[in-house]
Amino acid sequence: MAPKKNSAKRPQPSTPKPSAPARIVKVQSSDGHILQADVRALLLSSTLAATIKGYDDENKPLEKLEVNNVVGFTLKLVLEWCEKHKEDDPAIAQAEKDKKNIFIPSWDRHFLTKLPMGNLFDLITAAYHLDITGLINYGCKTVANSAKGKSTEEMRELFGIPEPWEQPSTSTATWDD
Amino acid sequence: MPVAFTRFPDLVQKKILDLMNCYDLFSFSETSKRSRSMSQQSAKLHEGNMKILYATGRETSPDSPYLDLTYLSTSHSVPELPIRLEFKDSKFEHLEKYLNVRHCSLFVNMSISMDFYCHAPLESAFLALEQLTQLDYLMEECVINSVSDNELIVRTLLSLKKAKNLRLMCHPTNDFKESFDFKTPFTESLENEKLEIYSSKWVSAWHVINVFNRCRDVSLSDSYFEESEVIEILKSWKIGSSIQYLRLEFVRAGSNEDFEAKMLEINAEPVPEAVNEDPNIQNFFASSSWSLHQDNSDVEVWITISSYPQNRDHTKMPIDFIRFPELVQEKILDLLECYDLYNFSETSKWSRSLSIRPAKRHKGQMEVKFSRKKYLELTYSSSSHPHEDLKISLELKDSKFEDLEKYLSVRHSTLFANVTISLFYSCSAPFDSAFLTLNPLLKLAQLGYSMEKCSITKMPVAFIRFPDLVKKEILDFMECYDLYQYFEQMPTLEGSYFEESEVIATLKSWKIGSSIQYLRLEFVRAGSNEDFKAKMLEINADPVPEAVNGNPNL
Repeated sequence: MAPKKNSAKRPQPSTPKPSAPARIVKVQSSDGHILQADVRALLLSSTLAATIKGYDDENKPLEKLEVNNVVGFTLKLVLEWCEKHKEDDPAIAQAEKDKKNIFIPSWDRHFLTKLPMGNLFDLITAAYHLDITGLINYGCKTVANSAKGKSTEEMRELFGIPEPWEQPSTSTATWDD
Repeated sequence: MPVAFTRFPDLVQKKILDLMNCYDLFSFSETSKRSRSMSQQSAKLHEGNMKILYATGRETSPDSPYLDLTYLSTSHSVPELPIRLEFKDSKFEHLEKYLNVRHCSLFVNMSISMDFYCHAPLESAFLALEQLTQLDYLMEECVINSVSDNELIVRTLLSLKKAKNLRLMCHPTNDFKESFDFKTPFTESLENEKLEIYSSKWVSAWHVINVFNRCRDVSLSDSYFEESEVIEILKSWKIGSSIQYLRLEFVRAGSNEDFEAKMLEINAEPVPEAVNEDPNIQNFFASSSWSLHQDNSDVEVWITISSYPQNRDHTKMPIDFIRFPELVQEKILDLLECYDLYNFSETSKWSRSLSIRPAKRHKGQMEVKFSRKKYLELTYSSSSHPHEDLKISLELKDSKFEDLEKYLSVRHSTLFANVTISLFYSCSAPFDSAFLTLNPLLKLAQLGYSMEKCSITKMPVAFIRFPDLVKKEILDFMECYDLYQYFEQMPTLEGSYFEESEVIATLKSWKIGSSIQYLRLEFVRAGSNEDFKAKMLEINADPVPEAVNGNPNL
């Protein structure tokens, strides 16, 4: 039997829609940093989109959004990513959500691989809390790529899994091998 | 000039039908009643999955939904181009027709799975879902992604209540507690084997007890139960429930000791060793376990409580994998290739248990081909992770294939339950090296893998000269061995059919006990029809004249 060919097509970005005038709001991180962002960028986060919609529905002026579980540095990275992707069709990210062969565009590859692992970790966790599908997809794929071809030993090192003899045996943690 | 198909010998007809792809076989089966019955055996050989994708967002009409139907076969080579159906006049045109052709009732080993990516307007998604469920096909794996929508959560769960595996990724709205009734619409229980709800804030103990009680595995991520609700669920489970696996998150009301006392009250027994022994315990922080027996049955479950410490001091972690939310951990593992997933699973017991679910999602086939040039070719074709196809050739050195075990273990460890092995053996070696060339077969059998298909052609002439024990060992592991092919193609047995006495002996032996459900062979009559009938009556076989016309297998 011939090997299966990949029938899944890489999603193509749709033609950008005519740009509407930017609506800028302030976003405050958990450690008090105040940043500015275009609402269209913030709409990539389902969590923030719901908050913004709540304001709009009640015709309340949106002056500042508080993001209580993301620190300033990470929030800046999140906003940078969202700004870059604010014109994207959300269906692209949704269509890739459950796929096993996610393709990372070159800008995102550069953006994510230049980050130290600690920052990448914070960024993915923030994307998870803010429910930004595209960033979760690309972040997770970047981590998966960094594990590619690694031996068991190298994976322990990459993912911070201690050697069996180093694994603590307390009542709450079982690193038992 | 037409081919007089029915004038071919039966076995040739069968062979031709076996080689047809499913679309052609379906078309053939529609030509006549007889064709339909002839196609049944061959159709059973087809295995695969029809994936239905619902999405919106094409370049031409970004808001209009579409359905993509893609068929992936694990048994036959078929064109894999997706068929795209447009949404017109409140329905997807030709959906029924395409599903019939690509997934008719003839192909019992083909399943349907679906991915829905729902954005506003949601009505077309509901219509598609309802249209699909009305067709009454077995739904294997259903994944529903959607923007926040309370009604979609309820309608999806009810529409897909019989889907085998259902994964629902849809948040309730922020104000669902005040604005939506999540109880009244559920007038009946769901029957999914596996139900995963990724945003379960809306789920209460009432749902687990009354709606999910007939499911087998239930995972409720992002759930916030009270401790009292957990006890209520466990009490209700004791009285009767089909749930075998349940994962939820709850908030402790008091101390560990208080909780322990409540568990003892419902007759749960502490099982401290479970934390280390139960492979389903998927995190480092499992702290205590109990066993609970169901009343009026022998069913017992283990209940494990895990507490996530706020501060952990495991330094030296380049990426703190364990601190990722569970869904992110699973997503990353889902994106690993099977080699890498295998290596990850080897890093610790926790990693192994965390890898079980992503590994099950790997589906594919490892073909092991042995050729007369004395090398083994391992070809892995993945149907779930299409970028993973791989080919490895192993040379015969010092009477063995080096690294065979390593490659098979890595690519096909017991973790990958849905990856099958097929063996294609073609050899006409002389006797001296015949045993040597059969070594890889024996090696595979020793590794304990389950063999999906074994095709043995040009078996060495010397095969029959092997000691009986060796022959038995070789044949024993060929579980799906095609008996006909074996006898048809073994050079030494060509033309030498069974004796009538052998047939009678075989039937007698079958009466005593055998797993054979279908056996086709050719034999030479020893006497007249009447003599044979007498022998059949002797072994208590009853004549069934009408079977000739009524048995679709004939």
